[in-house]
Amino acid sequence: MIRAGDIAIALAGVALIIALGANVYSESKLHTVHVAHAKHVEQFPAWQDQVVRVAGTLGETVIEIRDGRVRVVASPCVQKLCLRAGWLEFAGEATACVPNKVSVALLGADPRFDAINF
Amino acid sequence: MQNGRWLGRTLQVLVLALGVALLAACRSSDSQAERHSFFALGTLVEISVHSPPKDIAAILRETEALLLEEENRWRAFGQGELAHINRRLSAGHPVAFSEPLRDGIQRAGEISTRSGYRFNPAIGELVRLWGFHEEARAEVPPPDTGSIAALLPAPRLDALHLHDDGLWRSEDERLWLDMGAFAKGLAVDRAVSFLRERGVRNAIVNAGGDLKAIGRHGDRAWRVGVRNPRASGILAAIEMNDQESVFTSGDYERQFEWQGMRYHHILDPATGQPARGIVSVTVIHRDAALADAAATALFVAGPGAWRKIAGNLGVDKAMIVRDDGEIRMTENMQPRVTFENASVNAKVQALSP
Repeated sequence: MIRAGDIAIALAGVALIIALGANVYSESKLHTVHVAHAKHVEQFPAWQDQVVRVAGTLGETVIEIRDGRVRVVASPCVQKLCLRAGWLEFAGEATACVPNKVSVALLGADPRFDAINF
Repeated sequence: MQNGRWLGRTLQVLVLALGVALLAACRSSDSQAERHSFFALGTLVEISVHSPPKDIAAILRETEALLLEEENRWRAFGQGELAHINRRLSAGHPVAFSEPLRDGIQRAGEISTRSGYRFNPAIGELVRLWGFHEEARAEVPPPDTGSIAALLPAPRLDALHLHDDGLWRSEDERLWLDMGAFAKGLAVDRAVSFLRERGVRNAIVNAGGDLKAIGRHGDRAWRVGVRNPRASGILAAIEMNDQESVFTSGDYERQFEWQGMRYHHILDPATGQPARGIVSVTVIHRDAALADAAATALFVAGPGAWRKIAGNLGVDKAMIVRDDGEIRMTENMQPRVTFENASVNAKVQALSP
């Protein structure tokens, strides 16, 4: 037989899940993509899928933002180290095209990591 | 009575849930670090500062200028103080070192000797032969064995001698100083010292993935993620102590492929070829310059000798990822790393084999 207490506990559990889910959502919403080029810093929301094109010293760097992640997909540099970095998934991760002087960073309010070592 | 008791319990549970939710929400209101990024030392430098002093903007501008000065000092090719000295030494001329250059080269020489010359900052000609001195390496094949053999045995810093006239001469015209595996650490050490002198108590200086921390991020330690050398994502997490640095050397950084074979930039001075057997080495040490050089030395030493060289260099916290995917680390490294994947096969080994 279901008692009032069981229902209360179930409701509390649902409330907790909703509250935590809302919190996680708000954290991912806080993530922003910082793109620095030619002394300018542009910011883009990480939850909004888009392709960003910026001009560097050698030419155009193309950056893809998708599902809260970001990566460099095209760059005029030769070694393509910025492309090889792949997706930046964690707040605090960054990559750069040094020859083209373009940097990309994923930032958040409370990043899991303050810096990435590689 | 019965209904009243259940109502009371319901309220208790709801209050508890609300409390937990509020606690979880507090995570996102944690105070943030200020970040400042710029290009220096041939890479992206990011400085994160927590609880900064009022004049932090000016301090960071000065730190940037300091690191650009270091870059210009230690650049081995093209324009710069060391590049100019290299050209003169190579042409058989005597040279005078500025004090920072002389001190740095002498320290690098000591580390080189203790590493059994696995870290060798005198092999700039080999680096040039492979094309790794350029940001944009041309699409050309690896050098032929004859060209490599002409640069072996590799020159060492021992070939530099101070003469009575106060000038330095090289007895080996193939000597070309390339401090690539040392100067970044030296520059990071200098930047951190400068920040501390100027009253910065909590910061991370991150130069292209190699970094040093000061203090803490508020009420917690600075958290660093070590990137997985063979897959996307993070291999392990490290919580930093005050004035500790983490340096990693990996074969995935500067590299090229030719006819299906991958060639990376960490050259073994004994063979003139990219070192094989290890894909990444991570070193924790208070001395960033030593951590920088040690990461290269252990990489070159390979799976058989890395512990011996770590012991010789006074490095007690090191982790290697072998080319078969196996992970090995020193006893003092183990408590410092938390692997992202619990099934990672990491074995602890004593420092001296």
